[in-house]
Amino acid sequence: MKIIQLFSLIILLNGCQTSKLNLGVAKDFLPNNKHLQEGIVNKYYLHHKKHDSPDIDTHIVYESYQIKNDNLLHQRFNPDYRLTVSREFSYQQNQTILLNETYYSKKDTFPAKISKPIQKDWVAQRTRSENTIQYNEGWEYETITQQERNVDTIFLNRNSKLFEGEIFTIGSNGIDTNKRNYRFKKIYTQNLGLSYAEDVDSVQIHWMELVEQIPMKMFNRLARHNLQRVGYINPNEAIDKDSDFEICTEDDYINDYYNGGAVPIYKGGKKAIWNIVNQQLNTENLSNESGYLTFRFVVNCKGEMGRIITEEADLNFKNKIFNEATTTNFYNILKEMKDWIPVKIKDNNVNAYFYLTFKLKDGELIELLP
Amino acid sequence: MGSCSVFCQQPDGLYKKEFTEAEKVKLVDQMTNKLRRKFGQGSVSEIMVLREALQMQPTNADLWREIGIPYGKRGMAAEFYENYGKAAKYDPLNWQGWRGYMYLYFYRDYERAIADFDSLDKLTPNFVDYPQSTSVHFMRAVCYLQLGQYQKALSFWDLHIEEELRNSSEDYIDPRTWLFKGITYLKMDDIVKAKENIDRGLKNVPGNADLLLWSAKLAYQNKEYKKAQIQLEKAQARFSEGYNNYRPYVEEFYQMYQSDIDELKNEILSLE
Repeated sequence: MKIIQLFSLIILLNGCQTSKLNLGVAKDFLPNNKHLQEGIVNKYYLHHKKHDSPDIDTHIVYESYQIKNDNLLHQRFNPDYRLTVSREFSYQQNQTILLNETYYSKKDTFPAKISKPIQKDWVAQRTRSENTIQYNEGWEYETITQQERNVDTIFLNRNSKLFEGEIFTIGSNGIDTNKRNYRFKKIYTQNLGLSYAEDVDSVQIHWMELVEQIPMKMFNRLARHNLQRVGYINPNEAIDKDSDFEICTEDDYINDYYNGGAVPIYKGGKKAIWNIVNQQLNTENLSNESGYLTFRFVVNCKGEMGRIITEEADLNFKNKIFNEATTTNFYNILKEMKDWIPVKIKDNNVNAYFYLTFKLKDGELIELLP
Repeated sequence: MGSCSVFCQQPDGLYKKEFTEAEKVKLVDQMTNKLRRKFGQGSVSEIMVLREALQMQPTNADLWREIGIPYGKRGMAAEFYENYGKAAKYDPLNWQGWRGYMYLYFYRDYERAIADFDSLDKLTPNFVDYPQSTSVHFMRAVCYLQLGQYQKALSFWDLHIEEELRNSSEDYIDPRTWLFKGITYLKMDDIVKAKENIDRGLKNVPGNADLLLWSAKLAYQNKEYKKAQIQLEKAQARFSEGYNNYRPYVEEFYQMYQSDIDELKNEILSLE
């Protein structure tokens, strides 16, 4: 019995996580300790409106809080769960100290240089922070955040802390300069963390409202959605995955064939494609097939074609599988077509997704689409 | 600072805001406002925001249309049909005509397109709809032309022209109207009426390369070789300047190519 009790105590003590992070006054306005230890994600609706328009546009932003290495890790995510900003804070003497800050685009990482790290003072009225970020193409942005006051308040029927102040940003690439300054308001609420934020300048207002809290485990599960943009082709799943085809690496973003405007996608247009198909098609392979046999592929900046997959539907738009001889016949014809016209955007040839549909009815090819 | 496992009683309750139905309507509208421009059509972020909006209004047709349209543009027929179909189901008045447009131009499914336009007519009696800025009369005429039902096609060309003239003058009528109506007569072997319509189109839009090409073809057929040559040279000039019929995303019906000009040119030259 004593052994069991001792064993239970050991388990209990091991289960009690300790952290050296002393949040001070902030503790009363952030998520509770259990949520901070396990990680908690706040989901916000971010609204935007220009002063001279009645239209409001809204989208979703996620911000997470988690204690990591005795500091508070605070990260922001887009609606697609992609990380866009990561910040690490320590808390000392009722001040939030920014230790590091990094911005993420799809391809690049931009760490900030922090010259004045005190982001917030939860007791004193005023404080000031400064940091600088260098982006691509020589752009550098300096941001100065001036807290002017903090006030205890009630928000969402809970104890809250309101911060107000002004933010100045100056961006420059050595030739052009962008300046912006705006007033901000942030409300931190008991057990919630940031529950409301607002920034206003002479042109527009953004405001962010907390709509839901999500445990980190659930958020991470949601973030593993594996969703890709409509029309994405996984190179590893392409019929020709072992070919030498490569997209142009200068810009590995893949557009769509129509992004360059209304131009023929093949030299000579669809008429030329019909000529090729009519010469090479073995109609005996078509059986009695009906439906839309679509080949989707990429045409790179050099007009080379590859990464081919199929989409197959019957004439009632239901998924089906065409017989192999039919698919192979059309695939072989497609592979021989060498005169694709690369998409041009701003005078540059780019990678783009194309498609060619063979519409069949009772074993007869009746249309080429688009 | 320890966590609380057994000894503390901190609530695990997480915050979730509840919206009224009226607020949901506003939010859905706000979420779709500028969404395409902000994140890109068919992007993961756009899809996520649309799904969020659908949770608030699962039968909002506009949302289903936004989800369905990139599939239609990118060659994914089954997904287009399923999602755009919901838009037409939940709001046939606003989206059935647009779906008919997609059936006609993207899938060349003339029967389905006609069914959508006929159904829309019943919803809007005594009113001519223009989904995607294109008259349902015009689109049905194209459908029947392609199905080989030429008399029906003619009846809809005439309805379209009548409607257009009710609201504007003849020179504002799209030159495709005259071109396709002329082609309809040509398919019926009525060269006189075919020429009449091509000429009427050229009277209003003298620089349209397609009309000039078909004028050349008709002249050639009528053994007016000099005229055919003149019209063909004009067609070549205008085609080279980009004044031919075309559509974004898909090939236009009876779209002309350089090879069409070359073919007729060779035929004329072979007579010399």
